[in-house]
Amino acid sequence: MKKTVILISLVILSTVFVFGSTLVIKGSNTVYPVAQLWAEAYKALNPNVEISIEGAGSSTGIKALFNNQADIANSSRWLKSSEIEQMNKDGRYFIPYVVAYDGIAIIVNKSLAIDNITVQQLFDIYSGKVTTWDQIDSSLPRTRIVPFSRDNASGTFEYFVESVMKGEKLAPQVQQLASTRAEVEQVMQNRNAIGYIGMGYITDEVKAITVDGIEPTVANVNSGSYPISRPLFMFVDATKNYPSGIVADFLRFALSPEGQEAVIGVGYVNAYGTK
Amino acid sequence: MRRKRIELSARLLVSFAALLTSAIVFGIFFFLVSDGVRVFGEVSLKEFFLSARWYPTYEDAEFGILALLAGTLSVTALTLIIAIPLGFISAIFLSEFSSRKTHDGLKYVFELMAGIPSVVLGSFGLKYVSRWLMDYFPMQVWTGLNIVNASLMLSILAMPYFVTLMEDAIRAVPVDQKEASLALGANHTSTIFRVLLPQARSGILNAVILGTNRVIGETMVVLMVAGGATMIPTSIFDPVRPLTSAIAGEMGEVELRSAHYFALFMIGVVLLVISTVFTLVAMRLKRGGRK
Repeated sequence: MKKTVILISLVILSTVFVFGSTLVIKGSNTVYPVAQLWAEAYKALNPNVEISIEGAGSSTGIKALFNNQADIANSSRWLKSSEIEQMNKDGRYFIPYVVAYDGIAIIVNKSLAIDNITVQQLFDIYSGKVTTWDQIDSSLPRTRIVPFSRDNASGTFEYFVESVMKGEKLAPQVQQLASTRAEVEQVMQNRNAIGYIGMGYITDEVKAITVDGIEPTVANVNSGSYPISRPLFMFVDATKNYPSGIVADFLRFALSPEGQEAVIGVGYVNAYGTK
Repeated sequence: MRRKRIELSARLLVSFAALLTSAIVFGIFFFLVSDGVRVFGEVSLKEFFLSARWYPTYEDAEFGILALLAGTLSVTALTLIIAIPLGFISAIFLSEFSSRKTHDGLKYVFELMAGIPSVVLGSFGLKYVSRWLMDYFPMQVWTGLNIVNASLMLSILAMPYFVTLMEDAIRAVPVDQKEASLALGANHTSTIFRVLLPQARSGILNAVILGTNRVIGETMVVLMVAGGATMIPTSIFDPVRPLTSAIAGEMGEVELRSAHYFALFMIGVVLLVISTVFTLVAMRLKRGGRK
């Protein structure tokens, strides 16, 4: 009898122990790819740690934080006012960490004599209101604008539609491609093309132009002056105390120069220094 | 007694295999339809089939597949226009006019062609064919990813089917028929057109069915080079977004059991119906030939 009790308590204890070194991350699909890189690298350094990551949307992640079903909630947006009200009502307190920035660069063919575009002009091009380059600037040729976009499954597409299009639909002739690489390839080949890509993917093969006069650089994104960029967050529950243990150590790793290097690899902009 | 038992178990095994295959086919169809029809809870039949506006991820989402359907049909039609005559001529050449050496050499080339992975063809179209099209037809081509590009790549994919199956069909005609025709004084050309081809008709149509279904269902190539624009094409140099590439491009991120999710399943049903109708029509033609 005694033995069984000991055995059962041992089992319970060991489960607690195992759960203690498990990190559950839920939320935004935009943050997902970089969170996954961090998790892989972190697991390589700490083999005992189990990390589960689920990409299910920012709202789902924050809801999971409320229900204590996640240690970290990834989010591509700030808290909604309804979520803040809920926090006040429940007496909870979540703190945000800016882990990276999502910035969209506008790219054109190198031979096209254009260096700046406004957000309004982007809206006009992608909604089909403007169809030739001379309507943008009279010095440009009177040729058809060929706009490229990512597939509607992509997080970059989602953010572009939200920030530039303000929810307006893309014109039918906008070509949706399945990868950033395909987009760069086409803009490289087509003299009249324009496209948008994650800032981390900018290459010399195409020309990244300024938007509203602001250059797409890390400094301009971090300071908030570049118009098509947004911070990406990880929220943690600090109701009882500041994050500690594995949660704190994982965040430390994400914000370290090594972790920030990984951010660029998935096309985002680093929030802090890199290696 | 023992022999009988073996006979019986073999027969059972064979019929079980046949039943299983048809059960799987009907199972897939049932599963597609049962998920697909639920889209009509939120979208009317008329809008789904007659609207060209496909905006599945917006606040006020629209689910019209007409432009996607036009994409599939235009790419398939142009591919068949290119690949069937070429395949047909190659098959006649291979079976009737080539020496043993050229025959084996060409056959080897077609076998290699059949082995090219579609993603490789897609990359080739994206990187080279699109550039060539823009260089050679600068007036007509405004984007290198278009119906022509996709059809050229799909033709490479479908040609081996057409050639090898059609050649097999022509070769399957009994030699004495051909010899009889030649002995009666008909020349080689009229023997081919009057004797061999009518006899091989059913096999040739079979090749067309298999190859065409392969073209309709092909996903990777069209996802990469058809252009991805949800517009109804007015020229063969317009970009399109065929049904298959809509499924492949969007299924990965779609919210489970949402209207978008069911719409993608319904697109699967539409694809299945297109290839079934096509197969039935071709089989009709086949039977008509036998009478």
